[in-house]
Order: sequence, then C-alpha cells, then structure tokens
Amino acid sequence: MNERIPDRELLEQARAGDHGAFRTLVQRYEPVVAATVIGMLGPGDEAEDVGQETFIGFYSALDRFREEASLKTYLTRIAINLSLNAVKRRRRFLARHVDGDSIQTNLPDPEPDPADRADSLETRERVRRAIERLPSKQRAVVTLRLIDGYSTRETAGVLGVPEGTVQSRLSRALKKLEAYLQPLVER
Amino acid sequence: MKHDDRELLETLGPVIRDAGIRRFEPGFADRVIERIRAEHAPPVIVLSAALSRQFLRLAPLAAGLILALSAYSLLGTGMSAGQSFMEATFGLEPVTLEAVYAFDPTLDPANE
Repeated sequence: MNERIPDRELLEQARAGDHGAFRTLVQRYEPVVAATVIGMLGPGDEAEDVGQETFIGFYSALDRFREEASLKTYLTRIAINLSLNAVKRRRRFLARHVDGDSIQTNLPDPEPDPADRADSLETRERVRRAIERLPSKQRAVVTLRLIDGYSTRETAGVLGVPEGTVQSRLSRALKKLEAYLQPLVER
Repeated sequence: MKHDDRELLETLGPVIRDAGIRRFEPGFADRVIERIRAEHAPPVIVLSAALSRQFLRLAPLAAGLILALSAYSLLGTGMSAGQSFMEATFGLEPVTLEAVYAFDPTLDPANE
C-alpha cells in the first residue's frame, strides 16, 4: 500500500513532521542501506548503528535534500561515507588493541571444506569475510558495484572518484576475491 | 574493462550479489524513529534550571535595590547613639533591655 505513495509526497509529509511518512521511507530504503552497510562492515551491532545513523543524518538534512539526486543514491552516499568512517575507526581500534598476527589468525582459511558448497549460509559468510579482507576503498567499490548493483558511472558518482579509478579498484578486488573464493566458483 | 576482468565479474558477481544481506534485524524502522524522536524532542525545561536562570536575571537588580535602600536609610536618618551600622542601614530601632521590657501603649485596650 505504501509503495503507491511517491517518495516526493512522503518527503513533503516527513518535512512537515510526519514520522509515519518517514518510517515508510526507512522501510522502503532499508534494503539499499542494509546492503551497503552490511557489505562494508558485516552484520552486527556496528552495521545496525551505521544504518540508523544514515537515516538520522538524512532526517536532519531533509530540508537540504534536493530532489535532483535520486533518494537511493543520496542514501547510499551517506551510508558508504559513514561505513568508511566506521572502517577507519575499527582499524584504529585494532591497531591500538590487537596485534597484527591475531588479526590474521581470525580470518578464515581460504581453502574451504567441499561441504561448504551446499551450505548457502556458509557460502554467504565466506563471501562476506573475503570482502572484509579487501582494503576499504576496494570493498566500497565491490559493495556498490556487485551488491548494490550500481553501474561504474553511478559508483564513481557516489564515491566522488573517476570511473577509471572504480574500474581499477574493481579489477584488483576481483583478483583478490578470486583467490579467496576460488573453491566456491566454477569457472 | 579487460576480458579477464569481465570474465571474473561474470563468475564472481552472482556469488557476491547473492551473499549480500539486505535487511537489518526486524523492527529497524521503529528503532530509527525512536532515536529520531529522542534526538529531536524539544528540550525538557527542568524547574531547578528555570529557577536558576531567573535568579541570575533578578539577582543584580535585587542587589542594586538593597544598596539603594540602605543608602537612603543611612543618608536620610543617619546613625543615632547606640545604633549599630546594620540597624542604621535597615532603619531598625536599637534593641536594648529597656526597650524589650517597655510596655507598648498600642497594646493597651484602654487606648482603643
């Protein structure tokens, strides 16, 4: 039923203080924000917090939001920026409190058990961990291009980098992912 | 995009896309709205804070008034013998043992 109300109308109602209208927008765009944030940070409390902050930031900027940009792209931009900040915070925390060796030992064995193929949850977890091993800039490109489904141009727009940079980051990321996920894919 | 990259994209793309999680825990929208309500709620005026603000506003005025009245008392009537500075400032009669035990004629029923 909510799907019939255009975003523009919901935005107007939300600007007028209607929390119900804003809730509908949150429900509508939760998949977009979740895919971006969980793609960047993995599932858990940190992703939930960043997801909430994305929408709270958007709520605070409702009056400034110009509708020339699509809402999906706008929210993705907030989500990816907040996620990149969270990755930096996490890296600083790990650098301060955990030594490098223990970070490595926490990562999964890149050679999976053959039984993993049949288990989609295991596969999902393995893919997620493989993405998590990528440097944050490559992870952002993989999340936007492959999980969110943005084109190279749109990804470049969201990240504010040239298309060539997106392509080169994606290329490097794919090579690493191929090594991590080799046993999962049939070529 | 190079041929190798395209091939990799075709192979890995679906695996990665399918691994994407597109939902937070149930009730996400409610939690967002709850935080927005909390963060954008009008500030609660605490009585003590309001009193403190009013006191700070009125205190200099009251102090000025006290000084002016004290000066008026001192300059107008001056200090009489046996009267302390505070008594003169507030225009009070000097308190003596005699004055305490003296009969107040206004309390005499015959004077009514």
